[in-house]
Amino acid sequence: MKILKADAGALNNFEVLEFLKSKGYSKDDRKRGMGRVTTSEYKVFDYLVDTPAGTQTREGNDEFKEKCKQFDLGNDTILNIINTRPASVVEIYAIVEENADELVEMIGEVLTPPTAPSPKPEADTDEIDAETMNCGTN
Amino acid sequence: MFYLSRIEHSLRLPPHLLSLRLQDAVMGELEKLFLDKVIANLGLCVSVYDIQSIKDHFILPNDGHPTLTVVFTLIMFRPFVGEIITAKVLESTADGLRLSLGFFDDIYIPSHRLPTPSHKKDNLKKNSVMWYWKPSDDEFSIELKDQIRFQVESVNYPKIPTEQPENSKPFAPMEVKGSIDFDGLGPVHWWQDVDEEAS
Repeated sequence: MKILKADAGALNNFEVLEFLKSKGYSKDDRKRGMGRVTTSEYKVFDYLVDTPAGTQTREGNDEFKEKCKQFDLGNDTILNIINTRPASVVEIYAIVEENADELVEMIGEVLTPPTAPSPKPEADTDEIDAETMNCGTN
Repeated sequence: MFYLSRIEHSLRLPPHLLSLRLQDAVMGELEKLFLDKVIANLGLCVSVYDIQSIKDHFILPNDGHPTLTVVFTLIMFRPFVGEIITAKVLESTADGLRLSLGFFDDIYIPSHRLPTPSHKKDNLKKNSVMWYWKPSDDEFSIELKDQIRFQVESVNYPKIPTEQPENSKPFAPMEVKGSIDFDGLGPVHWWQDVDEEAS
C-alpha cells in the first residue's frame, strides 16, 4: 500500500451523507440488508442522519460558504460551522470568537434548521421521532 | 471531520471473483480490505469513494490469481485539532469520560479537561462515577448517553504493543483526546436551557 495523497480534499458531513445515500443507504429498516451495504457504513449513516447534516441542502451550504468570504474564515472553520450548525452565540463561541453575532444571524437565515425538536437525551422522545419518520417515508 | 485520501495498492484478485465485472470485483475486495480499519496518520476508513484506475494486470509465476495495481480514493474519518464534534457518553470513570460516535468509540475526555470546577460522586456500579460541574450554587450532571459537544485536543495513533500489560484497556489503533472545558461545550442540553432563559 502506498499513500499517494493523504489529503485530497475535505468533505463535510452533508457530502458524506449524500454519498452514502447514493449508495443506497436509507433510514427505512425494511430496506436494510439489501444491496451493497456494510454494517460499518451504516453506523456512520446513523450518526450523520441525526446531525444537522440530515436536513441540510447543497444550495444552502454553497450559499453559506459564499457569504462566509466576507468574514475571512479558514476552510476548517467554515466546515466546522456547517457540520455543527450552532444556533446561538454560546454554541459558536468555541469555534470563532469574532463576529459571532453576525455569523449566528447568517446561519439562521441560510442553513436549514434541524427539524427534530431539541435533542435532549430522553429515550422516549427519540423513539417517537424515529417512528413518525418511518411513517412519513412509507 | 472527513477527508479524502488517495491510495495506490497492489491488489490480489481471487480467481472466484473473475466472473464479476472487474470494477465490482475490485470494489468488493477494497471494501473487505479497508473498511472500518485505521490507517496510521490517515484515520479510520469510512468508505471507498471512487476507483481512479486499474492497471498492470499480471500473474506471477506459480500464482493462481491476477495481481492489479489499483489507485483509489477513500473517505477517512480524521478529526482535526480544534474541531467541535457531538458524541454520546459511553463510560464515566474516575479518569474522565469516554465518548462514542456510533462508528468510533475511542474518544477520551481526561478528568482535568472537564469543566472547572467539577467533582465526582461514586456510583453504585463498580468503577463508574458521576461527574458534576458546579459553576455556582447550581449543580450540572453529566450522565451516561448524554450528547456531549467536545473540542478535539489531539489525535494519536499508538504503535501496536509487543507485550500487553495485564489489566490494560484493549488496544486502540487511533485515540482522540478532547476537552469540554470551555463555554458552549459539554452536554448539549446545558446550553439549550441557557438560551431559553436568555430569550
